[in-house]
Amino acid sequence: MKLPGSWKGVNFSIRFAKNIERKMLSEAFRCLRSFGDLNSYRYVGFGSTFFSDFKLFHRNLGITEMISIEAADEEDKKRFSFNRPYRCIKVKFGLSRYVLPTLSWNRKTILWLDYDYALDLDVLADVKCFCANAGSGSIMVVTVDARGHDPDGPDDPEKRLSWLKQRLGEKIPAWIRNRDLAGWGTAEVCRSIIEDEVQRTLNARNREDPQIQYLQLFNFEYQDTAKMLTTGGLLYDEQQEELLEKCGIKSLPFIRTGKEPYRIEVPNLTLNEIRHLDKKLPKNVVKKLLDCPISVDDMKKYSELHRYFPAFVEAEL
Amino acid sequence: MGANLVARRMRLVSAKTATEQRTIEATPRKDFFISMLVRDIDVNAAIIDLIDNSVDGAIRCRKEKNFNGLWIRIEVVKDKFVIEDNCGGISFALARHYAFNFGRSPEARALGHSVGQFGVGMKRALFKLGTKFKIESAAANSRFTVEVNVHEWSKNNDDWTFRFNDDLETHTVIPADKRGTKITVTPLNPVVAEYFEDAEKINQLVREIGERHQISIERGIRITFNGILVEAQVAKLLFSEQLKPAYVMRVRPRRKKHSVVTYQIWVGLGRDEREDPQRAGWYVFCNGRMILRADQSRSTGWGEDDEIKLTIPKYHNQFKMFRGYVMFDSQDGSVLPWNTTKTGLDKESWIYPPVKLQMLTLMRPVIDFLNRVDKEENQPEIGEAGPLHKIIANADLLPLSEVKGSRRFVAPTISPPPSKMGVITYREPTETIDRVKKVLKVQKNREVGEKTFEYYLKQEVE
Repeated sequence: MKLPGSWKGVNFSIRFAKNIERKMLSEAFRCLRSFGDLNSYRYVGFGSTFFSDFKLFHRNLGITEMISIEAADEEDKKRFSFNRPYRCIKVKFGLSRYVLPTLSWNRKTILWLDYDYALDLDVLADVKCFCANAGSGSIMVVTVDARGHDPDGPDDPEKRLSWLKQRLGEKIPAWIRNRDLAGWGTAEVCRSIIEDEVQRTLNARNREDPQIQYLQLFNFEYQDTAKMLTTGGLLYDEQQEELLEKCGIKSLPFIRTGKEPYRIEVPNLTLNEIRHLDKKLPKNVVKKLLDCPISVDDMKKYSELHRYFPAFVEAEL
Repeated sequence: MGANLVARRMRLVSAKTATEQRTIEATPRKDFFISMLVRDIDVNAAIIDLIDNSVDGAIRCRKEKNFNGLWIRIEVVKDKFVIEDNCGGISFALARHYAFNFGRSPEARALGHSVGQFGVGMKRALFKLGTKFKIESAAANSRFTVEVNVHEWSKNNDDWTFRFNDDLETHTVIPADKRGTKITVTPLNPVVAEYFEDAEKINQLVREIGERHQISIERGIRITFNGILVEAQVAKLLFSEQLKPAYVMRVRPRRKKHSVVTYQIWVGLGRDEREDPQRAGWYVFCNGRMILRADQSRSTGWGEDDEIKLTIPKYHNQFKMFRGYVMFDSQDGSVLPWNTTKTGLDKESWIYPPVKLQMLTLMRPVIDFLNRVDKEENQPEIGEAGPLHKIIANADLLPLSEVKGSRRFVAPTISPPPSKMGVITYREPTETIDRVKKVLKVQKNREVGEKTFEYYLKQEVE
């Protein structure tokens, strides 16, 4: 049994890009109000011991039904339960592919499958379970490691494809070659495999149900330590097409409905620089600040991200 | 005749020849047709198909689906196969317009919840069994006999008709107890005759009839094979307060694009005396007829790679208790996902893919539970005395109709306590152990250890 283990090594809440991504997702979820009171939504995620996403979505969106799935052994179970920040969070122990099918799916759901390992058939089983059961107006987000090689081994460009094939078998399109997996290539291949799985499941489901459509909304790429991909989108039905247009989600700057990613690139700035830039924003900073010692590139990046930018300071509590 | 006219005629003639040249002959040959049909079906399926005909008779004459008093008798003697029933018979009109046609006309489709669907089953079964057959049937207002010599019939490719014998009666009144159908096939095809000499094959056939027609038998129809009563192999699931099968019932479609289909899914655990792993898997029924038995293949979600992701071998004995049942029912059988031999699924039908998604969702928690049971089994200090095994042992095996399913499979989430148990081993002479065994009235060494320990615990410690 594989236990997601990165919570032991990294404190999730100080990873910059992840932090920014979380806030962007929250902003996107807020648009779901048009589909129904956010109170009526349920959030399902992998809270780990930090529950950063749970805290944010509870505070920002007011969601009160929350389920955290944890594959933990007996010893760790107590720690996960102990760290629940709110009463409304239920922790369900087990692998997500066994827990998800036991949930009742009559509620609109925001599901964030935030894995810290690479895409594999288990992940796709979860994607399938969501698409087979979730109602329209529900959102799924999937995060996977997009390095394209065994995290414990060296990255041999010639072996990327065979490594991926071990994990995904026939799901990998036949035309993919090693060179397609270079750089961010693995992320794009994984995104398309996830999208295919969603589509395949919906095709089967739509033979009898009302026609449920999928609109991809997220295609984030970022790198705090490892290259990561976050993709996902909304399930909606015909009657909701108008809502979808009106709710404004599509006009958010980080929404990506196709293969073109939104890459979260975090400029390395001091608090002083941030404060300085903030005063000029949200106007076009580049023109006005040519005299400032920050590179134009960093300024551009910051101006895009500034509303979501975290500030970390050491504090004695 | 003017030169113009001649030229025009010539053009007309050549146009006609061109049309003829463009025609390709594609008329089927009867012998090809017959050999192709019978190749796709095995003897068991052919006989069960003939039973389908009788069951359809029962469905026609007992709309309320209470089949008490109806019977189907199958007799095989040497070179002769006879199937006879008192299930209302085939009316003259039905015989003339449907029963003997190859293929069903669209207006014949909606024969209320019937098992016969494709307009091929009975003929194919008869071609499979032998070279001459005779069908005698008496319905409410008609009586007929049709005799066919397959060799003779297949010689003339232009004549695709069968003939009623001269004793045909079309305006008569036949009392209910005299109505029924009798089909005689003789001589049998050599392979088929051989088949019926094999006692084991006959046992398998009888058992298969009992499985595939379990619902009709439960409704009261009596099926006998050479005088042996076929018993229904009734689907059962383990049930207790702690162990509840999942149950789902749906009516589809929500939009009126297709005929209405009702389907029910049960998923849980089963148990049989032999712990036969061949009984595990999915069972699928269409209009009361089992079409898929203990399926452990990809078509029901087991897989070497995707779907439920069981590791290869795709089906493992630790899942031997897995049972899933899907029952489709529709007034219009043509929309149900059966293949023409009714031995498998039409996976491309509109109804099956969404149902399969539900089957996948429902089965995964059962697989998870069975994995935990297996883990418990592999811990020698707990073994089959573990909490999960006890829960399974204490559950009742109930027929599906009595199972109160829940929306999801319910099973305790307790994991076997890993390190709280200790192991005690010690060696004693076999002779001494045997003496203790006698006193304790037990068979195994292990039991000697347990009982003597319990005794000491009770007498000296507690």
